[in-house]
Amino acid sequence: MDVLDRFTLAFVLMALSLPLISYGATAGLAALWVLGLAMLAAGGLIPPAVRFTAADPDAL
Amino acid sequence: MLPVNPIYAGLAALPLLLLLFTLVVLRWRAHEAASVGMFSAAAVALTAYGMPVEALSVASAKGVWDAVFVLYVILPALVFYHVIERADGFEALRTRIKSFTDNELFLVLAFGWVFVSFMQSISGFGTPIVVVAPLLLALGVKPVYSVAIPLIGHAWANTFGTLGVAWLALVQVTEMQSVAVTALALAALLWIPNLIAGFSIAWIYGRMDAVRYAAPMILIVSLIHGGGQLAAVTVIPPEFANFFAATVGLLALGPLAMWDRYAAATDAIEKRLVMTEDLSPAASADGDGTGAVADGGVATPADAVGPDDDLMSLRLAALPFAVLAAVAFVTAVVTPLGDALGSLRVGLSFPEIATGLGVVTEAAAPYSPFAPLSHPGTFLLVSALAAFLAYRRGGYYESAASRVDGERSAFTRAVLATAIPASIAVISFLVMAKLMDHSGQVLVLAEGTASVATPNSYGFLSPLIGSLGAFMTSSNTASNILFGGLQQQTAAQLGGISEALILGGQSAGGAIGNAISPGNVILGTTAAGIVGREGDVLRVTIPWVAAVAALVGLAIVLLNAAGLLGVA
Repeated sequence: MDVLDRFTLAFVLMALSLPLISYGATAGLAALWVLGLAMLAAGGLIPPAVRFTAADPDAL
Repeated sequence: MLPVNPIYAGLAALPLLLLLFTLVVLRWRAHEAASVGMFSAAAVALTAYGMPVEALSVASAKGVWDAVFVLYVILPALVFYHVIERADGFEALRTRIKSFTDNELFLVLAFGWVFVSFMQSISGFGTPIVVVAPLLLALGVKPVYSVAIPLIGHAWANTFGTLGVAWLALVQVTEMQSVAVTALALAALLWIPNLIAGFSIAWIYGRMDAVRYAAPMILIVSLIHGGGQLAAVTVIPPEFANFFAATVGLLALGPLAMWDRYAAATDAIEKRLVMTEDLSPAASADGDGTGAVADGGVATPADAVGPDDDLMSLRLAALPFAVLAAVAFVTAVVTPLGDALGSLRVGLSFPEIATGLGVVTEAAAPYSPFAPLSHPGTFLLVSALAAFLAYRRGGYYESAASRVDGERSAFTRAVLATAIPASIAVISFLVMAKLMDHSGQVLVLAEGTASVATPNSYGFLSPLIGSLGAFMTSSNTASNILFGGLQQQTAAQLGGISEALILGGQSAGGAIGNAISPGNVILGTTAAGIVGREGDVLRVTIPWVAAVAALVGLAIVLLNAAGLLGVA
């Protein structure tokens, strides 16, 4: 998985968290908003992780 | 009851300080540093501000939703850019415009101050930066400065620009004692960043030699911009005042370009600090030009082609910009059309949330609905489509490709390679801002400032609060919504300070703060192909924002002491 793929995964995770949290919190379905929050957090962790793990973080 | 004390204020400031530290000191890229800000805001909200996890998730999701408004400019802006660039449109613009005058400083000011202000007058959301940064690059300006200069140059036009969106928001969230006096105070204060921007850009270009040389042009244009806007708010609806002033400023470039002083290159300026040494491929010995290519695959003068016989005409090169301006203008002034396009709105619902410290945010269904058809992103796509059809029909893609050595990366990959990191950063920034807002951190910061202030010191600080709001939200409009009511209340509680001047300070500060707003900076670095160098841009614009906000604050204190503009 190259750097762009990892960033794309981060973006997709963050984007998908939106409907999950909105629907989950509005409908009172805790499992959905918890999953959404976890996806958002995972997406947010990827860029700093890439900085410290990728051989060349600029290789886009 | 929120605890407004140094400990809680310090904790609220922590995410902002960590963000600045990682961006400016450690030189992390925006998408990396924004994560630090986001997670630290969440940690402070959960631990010190009593925010339940469900409320944290709702506030975070609202931040993601807010990002949609910015992301729908970033992606279309990149498409817009690459559609033009792959037909050598920017190279054509640079070559053709330089045939009018070889005066670099005139061109830098014309694009980085006058044209960007005109763009801001009709279309905000970072579009002016996206459009002008590549134009400055094409003129031979180093990538970091090609972003910093329009950020500085367009700031003054924010409040009454975009046909007055930020002004209308300020009117909406406050019950002003006098709308007319507030508009007058604001227009007077906004003249300061306008005038300083002209001189600052000249200073950045070539220090005192450049300031002396450009002074007549700067004074004339600033009289039109600042004075024109000030006069206009008294006779026409304020939301059109900036468009009036910026348009006259743009038209004034013609006569100014014919003036002997600016009609040709000059040797009066010894240093050309923002320019690549010359416009040949060997020019980028300092790395700035080649850096742009390495970072974003963006054509710069460093990889520009030499012969111009196959390049398109100026009219064709300017076509996308003309279409963009026309679409934005027509949809803004033809109200039925704008209303029809804006009638398609989509949004998500969110429940009411509350923190342990009693900060309640009401339910929203839908929350901040998005109108895609009347959004600048759609205008950019329409303009890009018009350009693509015109350039393809003229065969300019084939001729441009024939001039490039080796293979270019695929169009989609070229767009995504810059769009994805920028999008992650924007989402993280806005999640951070929403967490700070919904947990009460923003309120503690603002009230903490007010609690230790006197009327004069608060007057001085009010633009800084507006700038802080713009930095956090990347928007003058959002800053006014966030802090407008609070600034008005604080002015009333303190007494002895003009409400009009405080609200003017808020919105002028919000306008100035756009020069450091992460959203705008990222849009600029994206368009200039230097994603990851946001810290370098901020190193230029942060001191400018601090100095100009302080000058505006000083003007507020002096105007208040002089008894002008509604002293309490």
